[in-house]
Amino acid sequence: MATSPVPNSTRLVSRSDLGAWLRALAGERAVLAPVAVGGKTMFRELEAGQEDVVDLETVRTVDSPKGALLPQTEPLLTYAAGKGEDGAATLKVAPAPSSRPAVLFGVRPCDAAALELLDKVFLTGDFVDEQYRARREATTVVAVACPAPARTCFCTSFGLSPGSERGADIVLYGRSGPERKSEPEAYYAVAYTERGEALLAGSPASAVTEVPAGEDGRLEETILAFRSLSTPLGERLGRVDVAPRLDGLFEHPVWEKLAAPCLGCGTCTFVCPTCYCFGVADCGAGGKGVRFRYWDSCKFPQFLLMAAGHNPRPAKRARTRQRFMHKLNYYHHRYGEYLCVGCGRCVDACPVGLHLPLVVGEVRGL
Amino acid sequence: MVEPERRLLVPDVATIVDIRDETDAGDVKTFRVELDDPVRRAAWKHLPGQCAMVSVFGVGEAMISITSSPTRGWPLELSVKRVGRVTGALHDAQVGDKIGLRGPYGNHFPTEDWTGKDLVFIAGGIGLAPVRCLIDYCLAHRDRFGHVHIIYGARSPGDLCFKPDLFERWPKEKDTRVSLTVDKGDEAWRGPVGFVPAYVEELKPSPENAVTITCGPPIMIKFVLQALAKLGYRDDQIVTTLELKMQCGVGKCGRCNIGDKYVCVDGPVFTLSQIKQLPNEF
Repeated sequence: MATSPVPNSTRLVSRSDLGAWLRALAGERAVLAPVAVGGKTMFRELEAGQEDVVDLETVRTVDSPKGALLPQTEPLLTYAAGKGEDGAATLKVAPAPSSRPAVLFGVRPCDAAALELLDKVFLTGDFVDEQYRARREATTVVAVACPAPARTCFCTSFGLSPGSERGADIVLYGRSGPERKSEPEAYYAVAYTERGEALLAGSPASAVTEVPAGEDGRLEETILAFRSLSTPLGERLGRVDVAPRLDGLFEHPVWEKLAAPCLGCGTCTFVCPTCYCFGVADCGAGGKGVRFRYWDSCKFPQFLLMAAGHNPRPAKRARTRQRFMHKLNYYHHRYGEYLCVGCGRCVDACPVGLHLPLVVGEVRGL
Repeated sequence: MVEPERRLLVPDVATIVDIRDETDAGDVKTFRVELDDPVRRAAWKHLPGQCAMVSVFGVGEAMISITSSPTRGWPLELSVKRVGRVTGALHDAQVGDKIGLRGPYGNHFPTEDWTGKDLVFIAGGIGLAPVRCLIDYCLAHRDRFGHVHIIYGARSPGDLCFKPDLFERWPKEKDTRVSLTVDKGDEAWRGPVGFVPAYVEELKPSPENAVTITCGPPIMIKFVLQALAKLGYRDDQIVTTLELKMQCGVGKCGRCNIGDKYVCVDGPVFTLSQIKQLPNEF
């Protein structure tokens, strides 16, 4: 993880030139960014003309950008059965075509960090998911530091900050710093990876300009100011440290209590930038069709239902325990860190208030 | 020639070359399958206990244990009980039909740790499928192991799987004993009648310098484990397999975990000592 900006790969972008920059990035590449859709800010692929209305002010998009790497539904292969000249059965199986290179623009630092947690699942161990890898390698992440974290933000509870660069190739920092009243007039664009440097180098000099000489001190101060910001919920929660405590709590009655109000709607898993569990299904007729994977949810009763009728997690208690143990204990055992970046979406979205900070608090109180 | 791009979740095409009914009721069939691509066929290497993701395109995929020993080469044998959609579609398939195959996946029975030991195989019903692969593998390396005792039961004589192995092949092997029981006999059955756990207690296989491998329905496993404890087997002498619903088979889809272990990559083979470390959720 890079920790300090590389001076020769920092540029300056005026707010008024963002649209021109995004237009220049598009073409070969898909550009995805936060845009207003029906009154809500969503992470979407930009259509022509939307470059000028990218929303870098709303703290978080309703959906996370994880769908750019792990789409909600994505084809894995197509199959086609037939008959050969001799009448024997034939079957053609073709992998789904590769997707276009992409720029994820205006990603919040928490969501950028979440991509690295997905990487650990799909890119490490004995098996590498080549489809995910191809998409990941063709994706450049341009994050934007948060000037004013929301009431429900708690990235600092996981060692991140409103200005952290984990998972980002470039981070945009408002030149006027986090303490301001209106949108910044310009952003520092700081590259933290070679991919980020290449994107800056390939951007039009008219939109992405040199940082004026003598501004290095101001740049460093600005980055530091974003990184020193606290998050409201993170302040109260502190550093999350419950993995060892959870080792002995599998059978504890606290799961029954926590699960009681859960509706099993799965919203938490869908808005979560780090929930990655998926299912695989076929769709077709007449011997032809597509096999696709789709986001699934451990909160759904059928998630683990087996053909013979056995369901190892028939109760809400077991499913709630699975979700939080996965994030706060199992993933920690396997990969050495927590499967949460404190984006706060579950706090905002859960209709009954069953969110991760609540669980951390309960566990600490036991 | 450019090697075609390989993708983790994209299976290779295979052909069903033979189908054999295992049971009188027709609910268990053994499919002999062959990968179509000779390069992929040559690259395939499995060990006893490992599984394959089997696809019926248009229906889905299921994880199936490989029942033929790697020492027997191609075709691969998969014994399947008709239970759900994928296994149902397989049962409806015919010789010559195309399926998909990925794998082999999972860990394997640790035969390398069993040199010089007596082996006690205990299975019930379709649970003999993964054990059959292991038995044949051990018999192919017969001199590495001590006495071999195969204890197997099914609901009725007609439900016994792999009859040629049980009645002809295995009893003829050196220092090998086959003990069969059925829950309910018929007019022709002259053997013991009763459940597998009680039969194990009656046979009293000695735990001294022995390893026991148990596969079968959960209820059978539960009581076999109690019987083995009574006979003096330690937890690390008892090996079994677990199964859970799987979608990817490679530790990515987040489905088959028990605690921080995934049955697909960390299993399916576990010793009882390992199982006792896991939360009770299977």
